[in-house]
Amino acid sequence: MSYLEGKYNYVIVAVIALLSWWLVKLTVIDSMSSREGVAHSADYFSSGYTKWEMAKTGELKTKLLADKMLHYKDDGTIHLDKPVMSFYNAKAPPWVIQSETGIVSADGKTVFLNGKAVVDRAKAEGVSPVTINTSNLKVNPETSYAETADWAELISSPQRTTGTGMKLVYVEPIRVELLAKVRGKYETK
Amino acid sequence: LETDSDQPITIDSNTATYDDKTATSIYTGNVISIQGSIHVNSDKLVVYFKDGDAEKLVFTGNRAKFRQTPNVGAKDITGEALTGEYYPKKNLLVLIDEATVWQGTGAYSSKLIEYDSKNAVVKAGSKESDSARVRVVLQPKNKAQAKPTP
Repeated sequence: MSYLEGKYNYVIVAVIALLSWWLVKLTVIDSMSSREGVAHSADYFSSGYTKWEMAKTGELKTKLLADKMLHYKDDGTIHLDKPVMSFYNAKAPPWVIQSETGIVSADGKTVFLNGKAVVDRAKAEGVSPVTINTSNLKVNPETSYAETADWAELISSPQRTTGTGMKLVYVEPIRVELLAKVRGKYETK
Repeated sequence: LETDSDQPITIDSNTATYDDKTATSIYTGNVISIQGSIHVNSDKLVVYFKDGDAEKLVFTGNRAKFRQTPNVGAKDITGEALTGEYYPKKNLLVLIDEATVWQGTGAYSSKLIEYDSKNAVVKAGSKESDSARVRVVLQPKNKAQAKPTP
């Protein structure tokens, strides 16, 4: 019997070793995933965020407002709640682009304005008012260019034109291109 | 119809471009423009704004075609040309180059035709140049077949 008993002890020790190895593995995986979770969280944030950017001449070039701004360290992106971007120029009122949320790429070259987006330019002397209603707009501030593949509506009295897909250049010479299924309407006085 | 000029102008096309500097909107690709009973089919349309109003619409196509119902129940007046200029405020449509208008039993061809879209009056040719010669074909009443609208 004692021969068996000896063997029996070895089996228990083996089971205990196996159990502890499995537990160690479990805790390692756990900490790994929790560390990953921490990796994509904001390293700093701001509420009531305002950012001004001046031109070399000292004049105001762009202004960015947002209810909330979060910066993510791992991919360098900036996430915005209710962003309002204003682009200033010498001759006419600024172009103001706003949307529900926005993401600024790490290099700052591209801004993805997600959800409903509105582009506005107020009326002024010799300048007709323009409003564009669209969604999911991709903006390139450096080249003053914005585009979407979604439906877009251009309102600039007396015309109202809709289409699918839009390209906008909001610096002189200002152009709005509607890419498909265009329908225009002009009120006659 | 007389009320055509009070109606809004609607335009369908493949693409459109709004150019702020020149205050123009350019529609291209299978352009269909409608104002009341006036219909124009063209390849391209440029709308010129002035003081916030659509002052002139220029249709081009091979050819641009228009039709209008002069009054209720009457036969449509149709026409075509390489270029058409429409002045909404003056109710004036000017057809330029290889222009032809079919009205009732008559067909008017010339280099330039002015068409008053309010009163459905056709004025072909122009005083300035001889080249705008006019050819008018009036079908005799009894032999007039129903002219197929182009």
